[in-house]
Amino acid sequence: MTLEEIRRELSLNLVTKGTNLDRVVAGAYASDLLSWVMGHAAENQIWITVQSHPNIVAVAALLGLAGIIVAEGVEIEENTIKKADEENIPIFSTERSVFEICGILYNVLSGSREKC
Amino acid sequence: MKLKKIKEILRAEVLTGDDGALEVEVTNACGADLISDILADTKKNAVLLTGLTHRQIIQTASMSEFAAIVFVRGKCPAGDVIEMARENGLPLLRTEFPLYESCGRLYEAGLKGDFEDSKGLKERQSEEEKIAGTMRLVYEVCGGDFNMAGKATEQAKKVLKQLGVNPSAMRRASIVAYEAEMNIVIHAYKGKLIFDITPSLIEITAEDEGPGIEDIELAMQEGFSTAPERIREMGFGAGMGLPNMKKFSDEFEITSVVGKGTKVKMKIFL
Repeated sequence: MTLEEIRRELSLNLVTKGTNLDRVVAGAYASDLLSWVMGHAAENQIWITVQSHPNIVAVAALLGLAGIIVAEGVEIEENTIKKADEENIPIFSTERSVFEICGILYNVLSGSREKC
Repeated sequence: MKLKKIKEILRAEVLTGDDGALEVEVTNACGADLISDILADTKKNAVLLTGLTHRQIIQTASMSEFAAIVFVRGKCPAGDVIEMARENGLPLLRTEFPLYESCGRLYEAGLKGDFEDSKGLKERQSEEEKIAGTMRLVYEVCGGDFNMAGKATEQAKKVLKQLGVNPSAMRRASIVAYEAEMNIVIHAYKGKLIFDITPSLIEITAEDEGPGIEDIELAMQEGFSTAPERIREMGFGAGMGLPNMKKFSDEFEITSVVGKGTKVKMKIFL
Protein backbone atom coordinates (compact mmCIF):
# COMPACT_ATOMS: atom_id res chain seq x y z
CA MET A 1 0.00 0.00 0.00
CA THR A 2 1.39 3.39 -0.95
CA LEU A 3 1.58 6.53 1.16
CA GLU A 4 -1.03 8.15 -1.06
CA GLU A 5 -3.48 5.29 -0.46
CA ILE A 6 -2.88 5.53 3.28
CA ARG A 7 -3.40 9.28 3.17
CA ARG A 8 -6.76 8.75 1.50
CA GLU A 9 -7.93 5.85 3.71
CA LEU A 10 -7.12 7.73 6.92
CA SER A 11 -8.02 11.23 5.63
CA LEU A 12 -4.60 12.52 6.64
CA ASN A 13 -3.37 16.03 6.02
CA LEU A 14 -0.14 16.17 4.08
CA VAL A 15 1.92 19.04 5.52
CA THR A 16 5.08 18.66 3.44
CA LYS A 17 4.95 20.07 -0.07
CA GLY A 18 7.80 18.62 -2.06
CA THR A 19 7.59 15.01 -0.93
CA ASN A 20 6.37 12.17 -3.06
CA LEU A 21 3.74 9.66 -2.00
CA ASP A 22 4.43 6.77 -4.38
CA ARG A 23 6.49 4.90 -1.85
CA VAL A 24 5.13 1.56 -0.70
CA VAL A 25 4.68 1.29 3.05
CA ALA A 26 5.89 -1.92 4.66
CA GLY A 27 4.09 -1.54 7.99
CA ALA A 28 3.90 0.93 10.82
CA TYR A 29 5.54 1.74 14.12
CA ALA A 30 4.18 3.84 16.96
CA SER A 31 6.25 5.37 19.76
CA ASP A 32 7.18 8.79 21.09
CA LEU A 33 10.56 7.78 22.45
CA LEU A 34 13.14 8.51 19.79
CA SER A 35 15.70 5.98 20.93
CA TRP A 36 13.02 3.34 21.10
CA VAL A 37 12.08 4.08 17.52
CA MET A 38 15.77 4.09 16.56
CA GLY A 39 16.16 0.64 18.04
CA HIS A 40 12.95 -0.97 16.81
CA ALA A 41 11.40 0.64 13.74
CA ALA A 42 12.28 -0.84 10.35
CA GLU A 43 12.88 0.54 6.90
CA ASN A 44 9.82 1.61 4.86
CA GLN A 45 7.53 1.69 7.87
CA ILE A 46 5.33 4.68 8.58
CA TRP A 47 5.87 6.19 12.04
CA ILE A 48 3.05 7.40 14.27
CA THR A 49 4.00 9.87 17.00
CA VAL A 50 3.03 13.04 18.84
CA GLN A 51 6.55 14.45 18.62
CA SER A 52 6.88 17.25 16.07
CA HIS A 53 10.35 18.77 16.47
CA PRO A 54 12.93 18.55 13.65
CA ASN A 55 14.71 15.59 15.20
CA ILE A 56 11.90 13.26 14.13
CA VAL A 57 12.97 13.89 10.54
CA ALA A 58 16.55 12.91 11.37
CA VAL A 59 15.34 9.66 12.92
CA ALA A 60 13.09 8.89 9.94
CA ALA A 61 15.81 9.70 7.42
CA LEU A 62 18.44 7.64 9.21
CA LEU A 63 16.16 4.61 9.43
CA GLY A 64 14.76 4.97 5.93
CA LEU A 65 11.19 5.28 7.20
CA ALA A 66 8.49 5.92 4.58
CA GLY A 67 6.83 8.79 6.40
CA ILE A 68 5.59 10.24 9.69
CA ILE A 69 2.06 10.68 10.98
CA VAL A 70 1.87 13.32 13.68
CA ALA A 71 -1.33 12.50 15.55
CA GLU A 72 -3.65 14.14 18.08
CA GLY A 73 -3.68 17.49 16.25
CA VAL A 74 -0.20 18.37 17.42
CA GLU A 75 1.07 21.44 15.62
CA ILE A 76 4.13 20.75 13.49
CA GLU A 77 7.07 23.11 13.71
CA GLU A 78 8.00 25.04 10.58
CA ASN A 79 11.60 23.79 10.82
CA THR A 80 10.42 20.21 10.89
CA ILE A 81 8.45 20.66 7.68
CA LYS A 82 11.36 22.39 5.97
CA LYS A 83 13.75 19.64 6.92
CA ALA A 84 11.29 16.94 5.89
CA ASP A 85 10.92 18.52 2.45
CA GLU A 86 14.70 18.50 2.08
CA GLU A 87 14.95 14.85 3.07
CA ASN A 88 11.84 13.78 1.14
CA ILE A 89 10.15 12.41 4.26
CA PRO A 90 6.40 13.04 3.98
CA ILE A 91 4.75 14.25 7.19
CA PHE A 92 1.01 13.92 7.73
CA SER A 93 -1.04 15.49 10.46
CA THR A 94 -4.32 14.30 11.88
CA GLU A 95 -6.72 15.22 14.66
CA ARG A 96 -7.21 11.53 15.43
CA SER A 97 -5.49 9.95 18.42
CA VAL A 98 -2.53 7.63 18.15
CA PHE A 99 -4.80 4.80 19.30
CA GLU A 100 -7.31 5.43 16.50
CA ILE A 101 -4.66 5.83 13.81
CA CYS A 102 -2.99 2.61 14.87
CA GLY A 103 -6.29 0.77 14.90
CA ILE A 104 -7.43 1.98 11.49
CA LEU A 105 -4.00 1.57 9.94
CA TYR A 106 -3.69 -1.95 11.33
CA ASN A 107 -6.92 -2.95 9.61
CA VAL A 108 -6.10 -1.19 6.37
CA LEU A 109 -2.58 -2.60 6.15
CA SER A 110 -3.47 -6.16 7.12
CA GLY A 111 -6.41 -6.01 4.68
CA SER A 112 -4.13 -4.96 1.86
CA ARG A 113 -1.76 -7.78 2.70
CA GLU A 114 -4.53 -10.41 2.57
CA LYS A 115 -5.46 -9.18 -0.90
CA CYS A 116 -1.98 -9.82 -2.23
CA MET B 1 51.99 24.79 -11.85
CA LYS B 2 50.30 27.58 -9.91
CA LEU B 3 46.54 27.60 -9.48
CA LYS B 4 46.65 31.00 -11.18
CA LYS B 5 48.03 29.35 -14.30
CA ILE B 6 45.30 26.67 -14.21
CA LYS B 7 42.75 29.45 -14.07
CA GLU B 8 44.26 30.98 -17.23
CA ILE B 9 44.49 27.71 -19.14
CA LEU B 10 40.89 26.80 -18.40
CA ARG B 11 39.67 30.39 -18.75
CA ALA B 12 38.10 29.77 -15.39
CA GLU B 13 36.15 32.01 -13.10
CA VAL B 14 37.15 32.06 -9.41
CA LEU B 15 34.14 31.35 -7.17
CA THR B 16 36.09 31.57 -3.94
CA GLY B 17 39.76 31.99 -3.10
CA ASP B 18 41.83 35.18 -2.90
CA ASP B 19 45.01 36.11 -4.79
CA GLY B 20 47.09 34.34 -2.16
CA ALA B 21 45.18 31.13 -2.71
CA LEU B 22 45.84 31.30 -6.45
CA GLU B 23 49.60 31.22 -5.76
CA VAL B 24 49.30 27.63 -4.47
CA GLU B 25 51.52 25.20 -6.33
CA VAL B 26 49.64 22.28 -7.88
CA THR B 27 51.54 19.25 -9.11
CA ASN B 28 48.80 16.82 -9.98
CA ALA B 29 45.13 16.53 -10.89
CA CYS B 30 42.19 14.19 -10.57
CA GLY B 31 39.17 14.20 -12.90
CA ALA B 32 36.24 12.25 -11.47
CA ASP B 33 32.51 12.33 -10.85
CA LEU B 34 32.28 9.45 -8.39
CA ILE B 35 32.73 10.34 -4.74
CA SER B 36 34.31 7.00 -3.92
CA ASP B 37 36.95 7.47 -6.64
CA ILE B 38 37.68 10.94 -5.36
CA LEU B 39 38.01 9.66 -1.81
CA ALA B 40 40.32 6.89 -2.93
CA ASP B 41 42.59 9.42 -4.61
CA THR B 42 45.78 9.87 -2.63
CA LYS B 43 47.59 12.38 -4.81
CA LYS B 44 49.24 15.28 -3.07
CA ASN B 45 48.87 18.95 -4.08
CA ALA B 46 46.27 17.99 -6.63
CA VAL B 47 43.40 19.90 -8.14
CA LEU B 48 40.06 18.15 -8.49
CA LEU B 49 38.15 18.49 -11.76
CA THR B 50 34.54 17.46 -11.41
CA GLY B 51 30.97 18.06 -12.48
CA LEU B 52 29.57 17.37 -9.00
CA THR B 53 28.42 20.51 -7.24
CA HIS B 54 26.69 19.35 -4.04
CA ARG B 55 27.88 19.99 -0.47
CA GLN B 56 29.38 16.54 -0.18
CA ILE B 57 31.98 17.35 -2.80
CA ILE B 58 33.41 20.12 -0.60
CA GLN B 59 33.72 17.75 2.35
CA THR B 60 35.17 15.03 0.19
CA ALA B 61 37.73 17.33 -1.38
CA SER B 62 38.71 18.75 2.01
CA MET B 63 39.00 15.26 3.45
CA SER B 64 41.18 14.05 0.59
CA GLU B 65 43.22 17.24 0.91
CA PHE B 66 42.76 18.58 -2.58
CA ALA B 67 44.33 21.99 -3.20
CA ALA B 68 41.30 23.26 -5.12
CA ILE B 69 38.21 22.21 -7.09
CA VAL B 70 37.51 23.14 -10.69
CA PHE B 71 33.87 22.67 -11.72
CA VAL B 72 33.74 21.67 -15.38
CA ARG B 73 31.05 21.92 -18.09
CA GLY B 74 30.06 25.36 -16.79
CA LYS B 75 28.55 23.86 -13.64
CA CYS B 76 28.17 26.11 -10.65
CA PRO B 77 27.45 25.09 -7.05
CA ALA B 78 24.82 26.81 -4.92
CA GLY B 79 25.72 29.74 -2.69
CA ASP B 80 25.80 27.70 0.51
CA VAL B 81 28.22 25.23 -1.07
CA ILE B 82 30.56 28.05 -2.08
CA GLU B 83 30.25 29.45 1.45
CA MET B 84 31.18 26.06 2.90
CA ALA B 85 34.30 25.93 0.70
CA ARG B 86 35.23 29.43 1.79
CA GLU B 87 34.99 28.35 5.43
CA ASN B 88 37.20 25.34 4.66
CA GLY B 89 39.72 27.52 2.83
CA LEU B 90 39.20 25.51 -0.35
CA PRO B 91 39.50 27.55 -3.56
CA LEU B 92 36.75 26.92 -6.15
CA LEU B 93 37.02 27.60 -9.88
CA ARG B 94 34.58 27.14 -12.69
CA THR B 95 35.25 26.51 -16.37
CA GLU B 96 33.06 26.11 -19.43
CA PHE B 97 35.31 23.33 -20.77
CA PRO B 98 34.07 19.75 -20.36
CA LEU B 99 36.02 17.32 -18.19
CA TYR B 100 37.90 15.72 -21.09
CA GLU B 101 39.12 18.97 -22.50
CA SER B 102 39.92 20.47 -19.13
CA CYS B 103 42.12 17.49 -18.31
CA GLY B 104 43.68 17.54 -21.77
CA ARG B 105 44.53 21.21 -21.64
CA LEU B 106 46.18 20.91 -18.23
CA TYR B 107 48.10 17.81 -19.29
CA GLU B 108 49.29 19.52 -22.42
CA ALA B 109 50.44 22.49 -20.39
CA GLY B 110 52.69 20.23 -18.32
CA LEU B 111 50.52 19.09 -15.42
CA LYS B 112 51.24 15.44 -16.03
CA GLY B 113 50.66 13.60 -12.77
CA ASP B 114 52.92 10.89 -11.42
CA PHE B 115 51.09 7.69 -12.35
CA GLU B 116 54.09 6.11 -14.10
CA ASP B 117 56.45 7.02 -11.24
CA SER B 118 54.10 5.91 -8.50
CA LYS B 119 53.17 2.62 -10.20
CA GLY B 120 56.42 0.94 -9.27
CA LEU B 121 56.09 2.15 -5.71
CA LYS B 122 52.52 0.93 -5.45
CA GLU B 123 53.38 -2.50 -6.72
CA ARG B 124 55.90 -2.80 -3.95
CA GLN B 125 53.32 -2.02 -1.31
CA SER B 126 51.74 -5.03 0.31
CA GLU B 127 48.02 -5.68 0.07
CA GLU B 128 47.77 -4.76 3.73
CA GLU B 129 49.21 -1.32 3.18
CA LYS B 130 46.78 -0.64 0.38
CA ILE B 131 43.92 -1.54 2.67
CA ALA B 132 45.37 0.84 5.22
CA GLY B 133 43.86 3.59 3.07
CA THR B 134 41.28 4.35 5.72
CA MET B 135 39.01 7.29 5.64
CA ARG B 136 38.28 9.51 8.61
CA LEU B 137 35.28 11.75 9.04
CA VAL B 138 35.29 14.13 11.98
CA TYR B 139 32.27 16.13 13.06
CA GLU B 140 32.05 18.68 15.86
CA VAL B 141 28.92 18.29 17.96
CA CYS B 142 27.65 21.15 20.06
CA GLY B 143 25.99 20.42 23.41
CA GLY B 144 22.41 21.69 23.76
CA ASP B 145 21.95 22.49 20.07
CA PHE B 146 18.87 20.47 19.19
CA ASN B 147 18.47 22.20 15.83
CA MET B 148 21.71 20.75 14.53
CA ALA B 149 21.34 17.46 16.38
CA GLY B 150 21.63 14.47 14.07
CA LYS B 151 23.37 16.44 11.32
CA ALA B 152 26.73 14.74 11.78
CA THR B 153 25.22 11.28 11.53
CA GLU B 154 23.14 12.26 8.50
CA GLN B 155 26.23 13.52 6.70
CA ALA B 156 28.25 10.46 7.61
CA LYS B 157 25.45 8.21 6.40
CA LYS B 158 25.51 9.93 3.03
CA VAL B 159 29.24 9.25 2.74
CA LEU B 160 28.75 5.60 3.76
CA LYS B 161 26.06 5.28 1.13
CA GLN B 162 28.31 6.73 -1.54
CA LEU B 163 31.05 4.33 -0.51
CA GLY B 164 28.65 1.48 -1.12
CA VAL B 165 28.62 0.16 2.46
CA ASN B 166 26.00 -2.61 2.77
CA PRO B 167 22.58 -1.42 3.96
CA SER B 168 22.52 -3.42 7.19
CA ALA B 169 25.91 -2.13 8.36
CA MET B 170 24.93 1.37 7.29
CA ARG B 171 21.73 1.15 9.31
CA ARG B 172 23.55 -0.09 12.40
CA ALA B 173 26.24 2.59 12.02
CA SER B 174 23.52 5.23 11.69
CA ILE B 175 21.72 4.05 14.81
CA VAL B 176 24.77 3.93 17.07
CA ALA B 177 26.19 7.18 15.71
CA TYR B 178 22.87 8.97 16.13
CA GLU B 179 22.54 7.80 19.72
CA ALA B 180 26.11 8.87 20.46
CA GLU B 181 25.55 12.24 18.81
CA MET B 182 22.32 12.78 20.75
CA ASN B 183 24.05 11.91 24.01
CA ILE B 184 26.59 14.65 23.36
CA VAL B 185 23.81 17.12 22.52
CA ILE B 186 21.78 16.16 25.59
CA HIS B 187 24.47 15.72 28.22
CA ALA B 188 27.78 17.30 27.21
CA TYR B 189 29.10 20.81 26.53
CA LYS B 190 30.72 19.80 23.29
CA GLY B 191 32.19 16.80 21.59
CA LYS B 192 33.35 15.08 18.48
CA LEU B 193 31.91 12.27 16.43
CA ILE B 194 34.58 10.44 14.46
CA PHE B 195 34.08 7.78 11.79
CA ASP B 196 37.05 5.67 10.74
CA ILE B 197 36.12 3.63 7.74
CA THR B 198 38.23 0.79 6.41
CA PRO B 199 37.30 -1.98 4.00
CA SER B 200 36.68 -4.32 6.94
CA LEU B 201 35.01 -2.13 9.55
CA ILE B 202 33.49 1.15 10.58
CA GLU B 203 34.75 2.49 13.88
CA ILE B 204 32.73 5.24 15.47
CA THR B 205 34.20 7.25 18.32
CA ALA B 206 32.19 9.77 20.29
CA GLU B 207 34.24 11.85 22.67
CA ASP B 208 32.87 14.67 24.73
CA GLU B 209 33.70 17.28 27.31
CA GLY B 210 30.95 17.05 29.85
CA PRO B 211 29.88 15.90 33.28
CA GLY B 212 30.93 12.28 32.70
CA ILE B 213 29.06 9.23 33.97
CA GLU B 214 29.23 8.27 37.63
CA ASP B 215 27.98 4.72 37.39
CA ILE B 216 28.48 3.25 33.93
CA GLU B 217 26.82 -0.05 34.83
CA LEU B 218 23.68 1.81 35.86
CA ALA B 219 23.80 4.01 32.75
CA MET B 220 23.96 0.91 30.56
CA GLN B 221 20.64 -0.38 31.93
CA GLU B 222 17.69 0.03 29.63
CA GLY B 223 15.37 2.73 30.89
CA PHE B 224 17.91 4.47 33.11
CA SER B 225 18.30 8.12 32.20
CA THR B 226 19.51 11.33 33.79
CA ALA B 227 18.07 13.54 31.05
CA PRO B 228 16.10 16.51 32.37
CA GLU B 229 12.33 16.74 31.96
CA ARG B 230 12.31 19.19 29.03
CA ILE B 231 14.46 16.80 27.03
CA ARG B 232 12.29 13.83 27.91
CA GLU B 233 9.31 15.76 26.61
CA MET B 234 10.99 15.75 23.22
CA GLY B 235 11.08 11.97 23.35
CA PHE B 236 14.76 11.74 24.23
CA GLY B 237 16.15 10.44 27.48
CA ALA B 238 14.30 7.14 27.31
CA GLY B 239 17.33 5.43 28.75
CA MET B 240 17.83 3.53 25.52
CA GLY B 241 20.78 5.43 24.08
CA LEU B 242 23.70 3.49 25.50
CA PRO B 243 21.87 0.13 25.33
CA ASN B 244 21.12 0.78 21.65
CA MET B 245 24.77 1.62 20.99
CA LYS B 246 25.82 -1.64 22.57
CA LYS B 247 23.10 -3.68 20.92
CA PHE B 248 23.75 -2.49 17.37
CA SER B 249 27.57 -2.48 17.42
CA ASP B 250 29.85 -5.51 17.22
CA GLU B 251 32.29 -4.09 19.74
CA PHE B 252 31.44 -1.47 22.31
CA GLU B 253 33.71 0.28 24.76
CA ILE B 254 32.91 3.12 27.12
CA THR B 255 35.14 5.11 29.43
CA SER B 256 34.19 8.11 31.47
CA VAL B 257 35.75 10.48 33.96
CA VAL B 258 33.34 12.38 36.21
CA GLY B 259 33.73 16.11 35.68
CA LYS B 260 35.71 15.65 32.48
CA GLY B 261 33.86 13.69 29.88
CA THR B 262 32.92 10.44 28.23
CA LYS B 263 34.35 8.43 25.36
CA VAL B 264 32.48 5.72 23.50
CA LYS B 265 34.13 3.56 20.86
CA MET B 266 32.04 1.28 18.66
CA LYS B 267 32.98 -1.06 15.86
CA ILE B 268 30.79 -2.39 13.13
CA PHE B 269 32.35 -5.12 11.00
CA LEU B 270 31.68 -5.10 7.30
